[in-house]
Amino acid sequence: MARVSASFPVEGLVCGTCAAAVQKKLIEEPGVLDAAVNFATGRATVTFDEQQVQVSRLIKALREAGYDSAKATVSFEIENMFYSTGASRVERELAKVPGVIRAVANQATARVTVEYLPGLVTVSELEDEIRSAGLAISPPSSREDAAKRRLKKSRSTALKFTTAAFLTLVTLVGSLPLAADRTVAGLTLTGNLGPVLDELFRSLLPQLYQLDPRLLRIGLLGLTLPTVLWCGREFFAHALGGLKCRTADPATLVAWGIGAVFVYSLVATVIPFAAPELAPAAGVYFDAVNGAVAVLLLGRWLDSGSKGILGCFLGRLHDLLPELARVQREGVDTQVPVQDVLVGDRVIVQPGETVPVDGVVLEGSSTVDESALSGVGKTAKKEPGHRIFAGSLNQSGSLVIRAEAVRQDTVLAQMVRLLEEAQLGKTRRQRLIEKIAVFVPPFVIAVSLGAFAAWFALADSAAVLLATLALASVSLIACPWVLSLAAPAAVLAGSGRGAEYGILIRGSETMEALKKVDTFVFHRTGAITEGKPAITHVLGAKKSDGSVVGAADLLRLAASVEARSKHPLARAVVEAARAKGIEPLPVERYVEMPGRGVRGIVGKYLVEVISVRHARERSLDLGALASEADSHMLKGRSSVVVVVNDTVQGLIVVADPLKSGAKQAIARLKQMGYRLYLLSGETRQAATLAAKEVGLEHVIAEVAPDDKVEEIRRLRNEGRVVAVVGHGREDALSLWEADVGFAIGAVGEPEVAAAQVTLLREDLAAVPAAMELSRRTIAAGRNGVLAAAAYHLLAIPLAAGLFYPWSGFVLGPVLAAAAASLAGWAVARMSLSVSNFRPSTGMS
Amino acid sequence: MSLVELAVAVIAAALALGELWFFLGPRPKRQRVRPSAGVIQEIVVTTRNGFRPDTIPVEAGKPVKLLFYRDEGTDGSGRVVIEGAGIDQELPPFKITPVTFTPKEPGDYSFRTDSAPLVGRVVAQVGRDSARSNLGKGHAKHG
Repeated sequence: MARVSASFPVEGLVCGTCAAAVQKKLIEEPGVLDAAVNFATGRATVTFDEQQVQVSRLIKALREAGYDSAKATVSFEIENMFYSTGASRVERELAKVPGVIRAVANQATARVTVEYLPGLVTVSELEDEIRSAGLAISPPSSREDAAKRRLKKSRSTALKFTTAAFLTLVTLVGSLPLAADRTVAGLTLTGNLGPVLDELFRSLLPQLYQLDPRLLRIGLLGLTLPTVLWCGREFFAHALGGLKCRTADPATLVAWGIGAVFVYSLVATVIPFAAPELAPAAGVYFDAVNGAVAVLLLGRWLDSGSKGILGCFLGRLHDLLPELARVQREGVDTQVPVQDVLVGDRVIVQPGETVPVDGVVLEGSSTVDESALSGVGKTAKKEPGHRIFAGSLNQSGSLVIRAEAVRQDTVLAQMVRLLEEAQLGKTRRQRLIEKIAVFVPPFVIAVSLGAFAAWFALADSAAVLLATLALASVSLIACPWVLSLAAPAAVLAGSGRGAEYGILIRGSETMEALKKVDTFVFHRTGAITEGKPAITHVLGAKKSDGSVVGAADLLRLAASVEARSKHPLARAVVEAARAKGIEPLPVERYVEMPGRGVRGIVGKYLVEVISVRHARERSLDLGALASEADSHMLKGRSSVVVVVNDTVQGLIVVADPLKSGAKQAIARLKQMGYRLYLLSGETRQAATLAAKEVGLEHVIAEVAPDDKVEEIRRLRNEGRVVAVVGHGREDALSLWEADVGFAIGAVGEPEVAAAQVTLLREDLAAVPAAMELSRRTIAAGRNGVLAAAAYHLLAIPLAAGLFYPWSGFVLGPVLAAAAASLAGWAVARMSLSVSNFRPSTGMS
Repeated sequence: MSLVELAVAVIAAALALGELWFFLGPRPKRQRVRPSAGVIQEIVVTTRNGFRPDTIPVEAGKPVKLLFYRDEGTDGSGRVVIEGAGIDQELPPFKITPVTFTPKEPGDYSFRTDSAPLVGRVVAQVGRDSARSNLGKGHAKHG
């Protein structure tokens, strides 16, 4: 048998039931050994026998069922997507291209991701479309080269800022002898410094004051040209690119504002030569041009440090995997590239080395640090039989591992994919803000023209100058990019911080959905209990001759049918049998009865392992075992009944202890105001006892597995926004049906690992921590947006000189640009403050 | 208000309106010329500890251009071999290498690195148009 696996997109999934239907359809195909369809990611992962079936047959089956798998995805890194207008523009243009299914541009990660149908559009055509929207695509390069490029860019910005700042000082001093011409100097805040500096430099540089004012102006112009042509070139180039596409963005505002002051000063410099009689002594403001460019570059330089939080985290995850692995082949240890490791290889991991694959420990014992995967800093003991994951750090002893998942199939690789995909979504609110941000620059330009006209009409003297300064100040004080960046930056920071705690939240849509949750539904096994049930009692029934059925016989029969089941309880029965040296017998006609148990033919007998509830429904005679079952139930244990040919043979009692910290986590959720349910297939009495033990208020009991989805649907239909906390494949359907699904302790469970929220650690405290994190993230994003909006409402009238009649000064372009840079930086820091989040539940 | 001031106010208002129209007004539809549309199926495949994507659905009978981007410098993924298509192509690190072939019949076309066990497959199908028109009927079926 050639057992292989393949993962491909599934299109047309509308709900969790669609995913379940496709999964069923795939499993029914001959040659398919296992299939998992994930509604959240829209992908199917199928394990199949390559000799029996091809993927093309599986996709054909999908199509017959009314679904499809035809789309491809491509992602481009963008060099100059500084503003949401660029993101909106490129999304809009790409959406018009035939063959494009979806395009998402993320300003915070500077990436454009396109889903398209190959054959209807090519990658190069998509690139052309992106370029024609005024964006530049970064060439593909190694991460080291990309980091170098970013560093180079950052250094270049720093150099440009330093140059512009130096030229600002020089032109400021150089303008002092022309102060007499600057009729507005006393009106502006920066201009008020003039007399003080004038006095100082008159004594320090007397020669400067003896220069011909016309030549001095030319000199100042020469000192400003490097700023306009080199330091601030990207603002003008970007604005020009936007003009070609009829789009205004913050670069347009900067170019418009600085350009106005520069042109005014240029005219004032040239006219005395060309037509001395027309403008004898108009002031020049080259220092303002230099100053505005300098502070804007400073703002951009600071901003470059604010981005890439998640990128850093993803980079760290990428770097976790070693490049080489030591494998044992034909008795010889050899070092091979990690991609050469095969499933089934014996991999040796020495102390201090990172585990290169997911697998099972065959030999040796050691402690490993799994913090990269679970977010928990503590170490775990690994012995033969234990599962171990790529990215873990082996700390003490040498280990021999059998590789079970390699390369892209490891949990680590799935985590990276999950976090990358999480950045693709945008909430409706985010899209709305982006749309509003698109309108801001054109309106600011219109307001600046209005301010120009008003000052021109109302000023008593130097009307053109004052009007120009007002126009420039209004344009430079606006920074609409922070409006649209505040929320996604907060989500990026929140996602990154969550991942550090082992909480993977699928992007902004989930963050927003979490905020609306008012009800939590907990599955029991694995969610609030350890999920590792252990057999505590094996009780044989009394036979007609008065003897009691032997425990070994009972375990053998039960283990024989349970060996085919994947249920945790079944695994516990089989493990208990094997621990006593009892091997399961062959079983025929095995049938799973969801919510009731399993049955099969063992030898000549029909053997059933069923719940006590089902035994009672069938009126089977439990005899004295009935009271035993009730007594164990009161102690929080579950029981299953072993039935042979419709006669009860005994009872197997199972205990599954509560997770440590479960009570505290539930108490915290209650304190946060959520309505909490336990969803269980057990009897009402047993479920109520279990709920009481952990502190859950409400119980939905006696629910068959298939009906659990219905119960979630019912709660949602009542108007509740429901989050479901589950564990393992058994709970996958109800996780999909919920508004938000929490897969807890999902390491190694790929089909569940991609629920909207994946909790990599087994600790239930991660649930309230995720809720606190989402609240904090949404609040940070909202506060950022509100702060940005408030800033614009106050700053634009101030820059337009609306308060001049009372204050007696106008802001001036330099201070306006400084205010914009400071506001942008402050709002970004406000959004990114989520990266300091610490859960109240005391998680490490 | 003097005549000059009035003229400036009128010009500023006209400029503001013109600017708003220019940036926010209706735009003419752009003609998109696509000489390659309907012919080449281009897909980017990243090689880093495996192929991503490793399963590539395409239409049978139309040329497929796989743009392999080898995102690693380690040994073992230096070449790609497409079985049944006679392709054995070098993949330089951190560069895009186009590989073109036509899957004539529906079915799976495996590709792998030369020595390493990295495996992917191009899955050639027919009938995409009818599948696209049926998309969503799966949900309607189960209600």
